[in-house]
Amino acid sequence: MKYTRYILLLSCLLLGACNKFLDQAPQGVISGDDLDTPQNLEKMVVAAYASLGNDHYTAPYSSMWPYGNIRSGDAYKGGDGAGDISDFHFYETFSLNRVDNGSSDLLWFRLYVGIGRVNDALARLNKATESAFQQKTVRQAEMRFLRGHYYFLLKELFKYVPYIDEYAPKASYDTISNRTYTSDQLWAKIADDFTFAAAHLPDIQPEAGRANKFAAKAYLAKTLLYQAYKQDDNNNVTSIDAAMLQQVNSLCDEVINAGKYQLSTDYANNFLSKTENGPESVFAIQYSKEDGTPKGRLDYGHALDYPMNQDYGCCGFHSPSYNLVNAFKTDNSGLPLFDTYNNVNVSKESDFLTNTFDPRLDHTVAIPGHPYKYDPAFIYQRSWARAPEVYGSYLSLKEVVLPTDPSFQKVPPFMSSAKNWTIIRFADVLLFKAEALIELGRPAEALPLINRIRERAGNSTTLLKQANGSFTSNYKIGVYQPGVNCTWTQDFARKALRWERRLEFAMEGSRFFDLVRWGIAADYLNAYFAVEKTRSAHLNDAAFKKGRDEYLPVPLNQINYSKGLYKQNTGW
Amino acid sequence: MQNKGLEVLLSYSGNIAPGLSLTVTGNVATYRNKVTKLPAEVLTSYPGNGQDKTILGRSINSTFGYVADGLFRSQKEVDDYANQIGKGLGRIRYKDLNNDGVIDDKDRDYIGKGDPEFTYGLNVSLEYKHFDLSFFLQGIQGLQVYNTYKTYTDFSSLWPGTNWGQRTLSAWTPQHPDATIPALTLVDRNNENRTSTYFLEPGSYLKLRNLQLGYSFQHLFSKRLQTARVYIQGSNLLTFKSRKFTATDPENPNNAYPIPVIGTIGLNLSF
Repeated sequence: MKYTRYILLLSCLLLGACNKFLDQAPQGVISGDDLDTPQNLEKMVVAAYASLGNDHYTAPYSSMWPYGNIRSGDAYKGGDGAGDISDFHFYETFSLNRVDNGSSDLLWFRLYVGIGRVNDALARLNKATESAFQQKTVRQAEMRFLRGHYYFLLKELFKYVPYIDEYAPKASYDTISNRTYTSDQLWAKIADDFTFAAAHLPDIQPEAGRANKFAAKAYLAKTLLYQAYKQDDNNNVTSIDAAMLQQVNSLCDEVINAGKYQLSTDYANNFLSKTENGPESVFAIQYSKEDGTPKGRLDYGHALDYPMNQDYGCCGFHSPSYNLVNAFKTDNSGLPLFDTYNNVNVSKESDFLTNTFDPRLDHTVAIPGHPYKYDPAFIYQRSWARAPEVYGSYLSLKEVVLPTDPSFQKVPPFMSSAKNWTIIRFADVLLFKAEALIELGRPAEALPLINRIRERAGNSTTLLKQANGSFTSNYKIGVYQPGVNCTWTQDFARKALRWERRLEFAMEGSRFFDLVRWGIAADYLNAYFAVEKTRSAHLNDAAFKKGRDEYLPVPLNQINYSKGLYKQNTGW
Repeated sequence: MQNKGLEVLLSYSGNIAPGLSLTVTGNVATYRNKVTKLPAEVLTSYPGNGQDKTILGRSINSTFGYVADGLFRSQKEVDDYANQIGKGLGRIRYKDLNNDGVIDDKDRDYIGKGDPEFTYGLNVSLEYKHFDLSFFLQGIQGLQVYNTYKTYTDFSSLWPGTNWGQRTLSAWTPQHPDATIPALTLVDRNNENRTSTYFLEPGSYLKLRNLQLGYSFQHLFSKRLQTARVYIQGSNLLTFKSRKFTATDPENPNNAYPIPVIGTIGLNLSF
């Protein structure tokens, strides 16, 4: 009896010891709520921005080079033969691509990581009050701009993706189908984000890298331009929505008339670190070094794109195709050789002096015997290419920097830089507008826009000289003069616009998506393969399957994750 | 995750002849592993397709993939076979497990048994006068391991820029139609790096883990030094493995540093 009393007392102490003083928040751990302070909200926003440049050469969604360039006939994969990152070789040849291509799964995953950060920041911003956090609406608008960007990339890559926003609970992610929305509705969701961003962002942001009102309007114009080309279930373009084109036109006008942007005086300024965030940069990914991190926040997406010479050493990826180089040839009046450009292949060094070329060639392509990245004392050699017997000897120039550039950074065995990468430049806005006008049947109004781009290109030869002061290639570029050197019909204007986009943005990651938007990918690419495979045998397997290859397949891993809820794309 | 097992250990210690003592310990153990529960969102990170074939109820050491069914030896075999992207002469033929005429994700299944039937060991030590000898044998039996070295030794397409293994000399050619190693190519059109039984090999081994021979001196030099023992020892001196295992060490079938053979000469002094 005596013991029973003690046992009871002990039990009360042991079992009933749920005093409040034991309910302490664990130290050294951040709880979700701690991140809702104004100071931390800013950090969550910055963390979402950071995802923009958190890519890697295995899934470079910043520049999109494997998806936008090597699938477009503008570039070969490069590197040490077809087996070097064979997943990208499968993109280039189409016929060998598979639903279990691991690189597509990685790309999908990384883009959703970016969306995840945006959604997390947005959920916290939505809870904040304007009085506690005055920047609330601006930051919400910035986040929706970023989300629009990520979904835009997913949309042009995969066509149908699950749309997850900040209101979807995590537990519901695998119940959201990629066919909840139609293709058109998905575009509308993306446009919604940019519309909100355009309405609430300031004209000028005090800090470089933050999206402003005009960046949102430009991206909205881009979204509507893509959406305007209606596709059926087999990815055929069936009609073009005139009302949307009108909106594209007026949005571009708002950006142009704001007077905030202009074409850089020299085309080169878009691709040099010392002139980054220049007058043409509407929205750019900000990279940095000497920023407190060991090697900096570098452009890892392009880390394979440097030559194999002693100054660099790795890895010779992203080689311009013969077809692209030929496309820079011009005729007697400095216009493109629309129909005959590819009949004779430019191959010898002397060919660059006997033919005439658009000067953008030497801003875009590293060619043996030509100064590398504008340095006349640093002549690119065939021996700098990785596997010239497979991929020829051209390499891409826009993304690289000289070894002496302050932004250059070795990350052995790779090479990189802290040079920014522009997502939308003003030239894009001018050509979005020109494209909308041409498809609206107003080609005459598009003429001065295209000519403005060409004039600037013509004025961009200052840096294209050899050590003796002579021009590196024989440049000749002219503007379109209806009645003098062309007949400016809608058809001709369309051809000129498409050519202009190709040269102006060559190797910048958009070409393939242009071809799909216009509905010409299958015909264009199969015609390209027919000729190009006779020049480069690595394309022997290449064939584009119409109604399938316009989009990557939904990655098998993702379909499995959704337990079969996600529907595979047409043809796959 | 659940592990169930059984271990038996037998030991003998005694003098088997004047001045000769023997200690022997032998053990045999076996276990069965089973994944019992996983959060739904991580299921696809484990072997399986996340849908009708999952790791639940199976060993964590399971391998999930395609069944490699030899090589295509004639153009007729290639033409008559199911739709397999990248198929061709001298390429690996993967089994159409669901017989739908297409080789795809649905033809994957659990193909490998990563857990041994049993593991065992034998520890022997002998002492005779001032000499002592001991050794330890250890082995595992009845399992298949995924030999990733094969991606180097058998293929010219999977690791560009690296040397090709000697086994590529025996690769399939029209003149050697009975070869088991795929034809040489620089482009892995057939995705032969995919998880398949091509890389599964018997992983049983018996190893001489340790061998030690010693000699003890008593009261050497003076009474202060009670014993001085010198010994030589070797670790991982011998490995017995299946001939069908094509790399060097089935204990270490993945891309990692080899397990070293170690020789030691030692001196123990007791004061």
